[in-house]
Amino acid sequence: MKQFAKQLWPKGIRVIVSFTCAMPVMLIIGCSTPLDHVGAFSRASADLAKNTAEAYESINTITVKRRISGIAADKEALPDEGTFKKIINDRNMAARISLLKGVQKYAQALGELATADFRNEIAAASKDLYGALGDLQDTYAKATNRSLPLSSENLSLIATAVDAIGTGIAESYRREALKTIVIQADPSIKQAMDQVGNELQILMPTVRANLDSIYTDMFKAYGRDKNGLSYTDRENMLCDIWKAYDRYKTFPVYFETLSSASAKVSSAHAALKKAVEANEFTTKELVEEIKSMAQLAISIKDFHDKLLVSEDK
Amino acid sequence: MSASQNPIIDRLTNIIDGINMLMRSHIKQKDLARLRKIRSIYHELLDKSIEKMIEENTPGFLNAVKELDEACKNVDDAIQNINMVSATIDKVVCAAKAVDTIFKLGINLIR
Repeated sequence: MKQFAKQLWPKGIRVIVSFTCAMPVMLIIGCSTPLDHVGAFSRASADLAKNTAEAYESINTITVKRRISGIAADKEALPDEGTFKKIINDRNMAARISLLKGVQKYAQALGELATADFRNEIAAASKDLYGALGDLQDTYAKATNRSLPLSSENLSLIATAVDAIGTGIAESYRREALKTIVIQADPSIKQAMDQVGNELQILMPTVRANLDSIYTDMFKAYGRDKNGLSYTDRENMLCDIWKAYDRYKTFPVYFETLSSASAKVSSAHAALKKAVEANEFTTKELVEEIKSMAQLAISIKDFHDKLLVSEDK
Repeated sequence: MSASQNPIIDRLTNIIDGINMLMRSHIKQKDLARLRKIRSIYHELLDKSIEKMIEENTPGFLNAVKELDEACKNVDDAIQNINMVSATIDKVVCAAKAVDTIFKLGINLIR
């Protein structure tokens, strides 16, 4: 059972997921500018896409484990090739993982566009311009014994104006680009996340039935074998049944939460689209949607923690 | 917990849940073996239904992947466009430096 648990939730992934799940919650609390809300949406969506990809991969493990458990419980049954066959084959899994990675990449890129600090680069370029014009002025003065009709103050004003105009242009580009991209991407984000949410909703009772069967097989095996076991072996077996019971109770709710969170990404993106169409980068509706996403992220983290506790028993 | 909104899958999983509940009760070993066989048939049907659903949904996923790739490309292009602002100022800097260099060269030639 320990191997099964480790297969489902490798330790490295568990630590990363626990940390990343808390990130959107921290970020939404710290949001101070409208573009930060776009950034918070992006981070929450990217984390969710990552967790959902892991959940998809766990379905194959759970199904194969249920088949193995059924064979182990029946002394006459033998495994065959079908025992180890993946319920989601490599091609179909790749389509889903690619899509979720696409959502993750899109969300991260959108966040980068929303929060990137272009000011520093423009300020550095403007400072270089001030230096270059100053050098030119010196050269001209030395050669002609006359000054350029521009004073140092004028040069400074030019550099400051270039900095301000450059920053203004960059900000204007940024907002226009965000608007165009969010409007263009909205149908595919909606299609992708609604489809993922629906599938997870359908997979949820399947995961529950598989884990229920594993738990039941272990439960009955204990009743059958307990008389021939020592106290320690019985205790170990009961602890394993407890873990199986926890997974049976926790995993389906986890899938349902991921399904709700996927639908929330779709509705939050729709709220973002509505906001940018009105040339706003935040609205009350968007903030509420992001808050809901953050709350779902807390739930996802809680389920991860429960599954971790179940493993440590 | 809500249903999956897929009646076939809901029915199959409900039956499996019921069989498991029965199996956990105090029943005879012979009945347990029979129930296990029946359960494995329902699991097989459930696996097939899931495989079918997954297969049918895949084209929609592949289509969305293409559209998202396009969206990602648009974001990258936008970031590059914004970087062009500082690149343009850099070009002006280069031009000013070039004028300065040529100017110095000209002065040296005259002297």
